Amino acid sequence: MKLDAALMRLIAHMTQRDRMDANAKSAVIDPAFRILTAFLCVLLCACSKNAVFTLIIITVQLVRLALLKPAQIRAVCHMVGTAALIALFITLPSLFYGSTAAITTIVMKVTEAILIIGILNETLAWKEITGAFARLHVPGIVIMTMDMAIHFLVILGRYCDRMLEAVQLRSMGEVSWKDSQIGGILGTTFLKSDQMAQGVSDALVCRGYTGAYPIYEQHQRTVLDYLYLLVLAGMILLFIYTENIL
Amino acid sequence: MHIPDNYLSPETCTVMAAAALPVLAISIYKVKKELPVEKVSVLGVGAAFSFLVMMFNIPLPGGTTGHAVGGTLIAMLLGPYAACISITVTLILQAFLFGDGGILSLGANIFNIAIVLPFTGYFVYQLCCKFLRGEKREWIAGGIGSYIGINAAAFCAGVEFGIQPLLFHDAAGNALYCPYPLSVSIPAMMLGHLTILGIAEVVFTIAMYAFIQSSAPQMLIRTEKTKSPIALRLLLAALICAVPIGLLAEGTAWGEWSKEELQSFQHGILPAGMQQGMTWQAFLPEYSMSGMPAWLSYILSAAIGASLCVIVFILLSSHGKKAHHEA
Amino acid sequence: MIELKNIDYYYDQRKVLDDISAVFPDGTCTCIDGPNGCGKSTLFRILSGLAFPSRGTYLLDGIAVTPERMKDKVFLQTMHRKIGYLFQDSQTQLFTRSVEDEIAFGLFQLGCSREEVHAKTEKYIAMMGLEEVRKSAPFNLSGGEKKKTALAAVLAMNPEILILDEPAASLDEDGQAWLLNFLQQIKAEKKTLILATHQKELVDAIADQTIQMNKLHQLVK
Repeated sequence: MKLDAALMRLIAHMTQRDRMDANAKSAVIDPAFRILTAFLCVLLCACSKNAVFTLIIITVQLVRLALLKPAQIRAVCHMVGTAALIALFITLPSLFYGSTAAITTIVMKVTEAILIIGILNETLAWKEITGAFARLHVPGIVIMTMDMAIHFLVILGRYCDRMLEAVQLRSMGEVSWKDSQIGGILGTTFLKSDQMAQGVSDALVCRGYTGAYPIYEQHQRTVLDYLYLLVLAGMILLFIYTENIL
Repeated sequence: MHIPDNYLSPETCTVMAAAALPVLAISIYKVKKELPVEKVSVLGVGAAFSFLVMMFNIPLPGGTTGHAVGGTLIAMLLGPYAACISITVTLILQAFLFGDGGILSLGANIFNIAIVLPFTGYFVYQLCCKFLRGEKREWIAGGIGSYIGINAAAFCAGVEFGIQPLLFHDAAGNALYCPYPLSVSIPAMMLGHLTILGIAEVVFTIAMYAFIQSSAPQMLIRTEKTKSPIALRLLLAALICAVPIGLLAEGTAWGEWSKEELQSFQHGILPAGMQQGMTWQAFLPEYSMSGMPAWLSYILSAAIGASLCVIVFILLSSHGKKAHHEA
Repeated sequence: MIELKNIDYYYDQRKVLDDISAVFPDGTCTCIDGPNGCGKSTLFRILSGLAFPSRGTYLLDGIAVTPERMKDKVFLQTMHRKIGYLFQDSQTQLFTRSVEDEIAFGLFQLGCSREEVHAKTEKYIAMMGLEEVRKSAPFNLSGGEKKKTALAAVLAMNPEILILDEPAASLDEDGQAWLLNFLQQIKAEKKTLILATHQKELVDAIADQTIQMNKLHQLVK
């Protein structure tokens, strides 16, 4: 069943990434600074009124992409390619509205935005991303919910996957959607999720949970991190220069 | 319904984020106050469940499939405030980890999918429960609530798209972001959600609710029927109406006035060159490479070309290695 | 010392514990055995303060544990510091982003300084042999690794009383040998152990007293 395959792909992607990230070295640059820079970059490109700044950013990101491992390049290209094609498909009818510039503008900017996020995603572990949010003073309850969501996504996904397998084993031949008992599968998954939530609540009580959610390993800032901020400053100056604001 | 980056202007994204933040803050406050501190697990599980739901395609009449969001169902099961936080977390994870939905447009997506959808759906569900009678009234109420919820969210998205060409365009009138006016964006968004996607949402909500009601009815009694206070409903309605008004404060982009606008600023005087100048509708009017120094164009082309060559080469060679191993 | 006097517990109008009375002296090891569904896990939930008896008294060092007493934050913290509870299903007990964070979590909640948290976490990672998986998310651990992580997370809080619900479940032969050795070490530290287990070898090796429960949710005299 296609859904079974999709679930298995999702779970495999998350478990494989976690294994790779667990064996990788810690981030060299503070993930919080990297996320801020990525966000600012996307914002500046969105604000730019001409192609120069966006093209420079795309160039830099393509150079960075070329330096990544093949599997990472494949993953980012897949994301960028899909987004760009969808953008092209959506904006093509604008030819009839005389808005021909929208096609190139939006496709270029979408490519740039997804390139930035894709590279960020491939070069930072999900733990570093949620940890960075903690450093950016996002409330602990949100960070904890994010970490738990990822944890339960894999666990509930596996549970759901086993049920789908059970449906397939009990059926003869291809399983059509009508016979897949999707309401029952999702309903049981929800009931299971409620049980698990109760279990985790008990675990939190037993560990004396007070509402705080500190992260064990925090990135220790070095000179490199502060030098990286020069990149941020350089980007803003480049934006100003290319927009001829000065 | 996830809006990617660059379809909405940064100004729109900022306004939508500003509209979403107070509701998120209220939801966090309410959840902290009403749920015991250890029940944060409910939010995490809710977020994971919401993610899974968005992956499921529902079989529909005619052999098509539709994709549900499940926002109203999650609000019916966990309460609207917990649903808001859970869906927000899902959207953040989808944007950052899976590139689904933009990061600049996260505020707009949170507003539409994590706020408008569950709160509207839940409000309608509660209203219908009051007036309907019969054993299956909760199913029907849930179905109506989820249908209206998803369409309200789609309508908001349609408005957000449609006002872009109205408010954000260059001097030549070309849209800087989404190029479709309200007359196109609203029907385009609503058509899908009034039909296939709306039906998918209703089918999903009723199927799940019915299953839980038959297998674990105590769960439905346990979840509080939280009344959305009148103030919050009015706030939501006001925010929805205020969004376009807030954006009207933005005028034409600085320095990109039309000849007529410039003439009005210059007390009726227009530079001679502009008076006799050509008006050329370029294919890439303001977003073109013209005006860029030659050396920069050369360097950029070289760098882009080289990077693309390296990327293509790496992909081809890694594909070749894979094929060789399989052989 | 833990004392249970005439404990009854009802769940959804169904009696799950029937007139349970027992004493668990300090520094001893008590093994509880009984068929599935006899109420062992419910008993443990009461002992760890997650549930309260419908009738009867639960005394912890002479103080009655009641819902009203548990509203006192100081008593609540003391109780959770004193009693460590290892769930039967380790999966549910793990909810953070990595093995390190799991072990550190309880220590942070107790208000330990970052240095203290680091020192204790490193100690338990080394003790449990979890160095290779220290940064792995709990969903990526094997059954044995999950059990060890959950145990480390509980032990890091230095409880005086350890409640273990079927600790040998989901462990292979090597894991079970490791567990036996480990429990003997814990017993040597004079901690109070209360375990639910069907494993005769474990009972014979470490139990100071055994309690048998039957299908009627009673203690077998």
